[in-house]
Amino acid sequence: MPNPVLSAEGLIRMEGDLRTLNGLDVSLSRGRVLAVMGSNGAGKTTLLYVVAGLLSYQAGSLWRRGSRIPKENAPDPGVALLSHQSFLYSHLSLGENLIFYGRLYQVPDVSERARWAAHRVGLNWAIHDLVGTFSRGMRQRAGLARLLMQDAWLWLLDEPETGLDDEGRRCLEGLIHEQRDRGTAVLVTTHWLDEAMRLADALAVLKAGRFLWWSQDRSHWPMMARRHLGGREDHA
Amino acid sequence: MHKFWAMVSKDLLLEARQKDLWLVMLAFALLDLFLAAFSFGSMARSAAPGILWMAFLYAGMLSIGRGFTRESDDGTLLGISLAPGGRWPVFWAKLAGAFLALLAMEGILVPLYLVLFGLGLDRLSVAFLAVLVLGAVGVASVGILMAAISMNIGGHDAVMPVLLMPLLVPVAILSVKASMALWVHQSATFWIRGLGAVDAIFLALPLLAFEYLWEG
Repeated sequence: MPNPVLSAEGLIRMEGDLRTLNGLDVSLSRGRVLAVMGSNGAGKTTLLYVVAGLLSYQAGSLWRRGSRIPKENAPDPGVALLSHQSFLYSHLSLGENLIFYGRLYQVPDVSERARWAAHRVGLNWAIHDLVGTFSRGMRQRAGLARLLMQDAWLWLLDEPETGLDDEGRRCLEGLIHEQRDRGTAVLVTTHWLDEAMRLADALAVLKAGRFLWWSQDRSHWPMMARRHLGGREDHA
Repeated sequence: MHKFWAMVSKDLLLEARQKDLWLVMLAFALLDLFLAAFSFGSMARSAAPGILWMAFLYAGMLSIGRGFTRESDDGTLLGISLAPGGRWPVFWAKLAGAFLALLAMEGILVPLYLVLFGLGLDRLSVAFLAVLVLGAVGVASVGILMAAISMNIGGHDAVMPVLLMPLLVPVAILSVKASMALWVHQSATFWIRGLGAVDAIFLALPLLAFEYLWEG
């Protein structure tokens, strides 16, 4: 594998007495997409937050773009995170939210970039509407537009298909492939094997804070997902 | 600085958009004025500084926590945490936003009170304006600290005044004493210096505790 932009060895994150990450190893190169499947509470969101620098870790090691990250951790501005929350202000319009984030990331021609991002996720018609009036799926698309307001080297997507309709899922797929082609590494969590099959180059199964299994060979994915996740690949 | 300015302009836009609380604060201030005027009668003039600062402090307590609770409610703190520039611009922006909101409130309330209490606008001396600014700094700095403490607590709207009120007592006393002295043309240097010292303490406290509070 080429030099990884993200790697971790034996990563442990404690919350009270619980090990939410329990000796996790991960490696991801630029332009690659890793899908992580796991049941609720497996540690998917914790993994993304630790990788983003929003949570500390207690043991193991973490490298981002060749730099070893201390255990206290710190947010990396080059990481774009789509969480269960859109990180958008309900009382601002989509355009105002995107311009705000563009200013945080010092994006040039921020208004033009905001219009482009809204158009890219199919929400150009709602750019002047308050985000508080958006449906769940629209908020998810708006969250994706927010990611487009920064030039990230790593995209972290936490169940990004949530709330999206078919057109939204196609849009998400297009965005991920576009990012992969421009060299962005993508780490995406999902409950759906068909989603992983469409989006990812590699699949890992997370259970109790560690990867049980990891493969780039797609022919193994359905069997391994069935073995470790109890037939979740049957869901469409 | 880009993060600070982006946060301040965004917060001011949100304040301007959500006018409901400003209407509540104005209604409260007017109610305070009329009740005081009826209760104190001819003594109302001498009680005017206390009435003014009471209205100002209560209105401030209603508004000052909103900067952080809005971030907490919309889940946006994580989003702005990831952006370049670290956490301190967020703190300074919240403090600046609260300070500007309090100054705006003073800009509305003070002339209104001076006219309605028959004190005349000539009471707006440089020294009195300094008291208003120092009072706003004190309320904003301690208010932002308490807002950061209470933002992750359930029922933070109820908790906030309980936490804030005891800490505002020194600011309230010094501001009232300084205003009273100035309005009867006496020296207020002692009270203004005291207010400045209390402001310095309340500005230092968040500087020491903010990172810890954010982690918590």
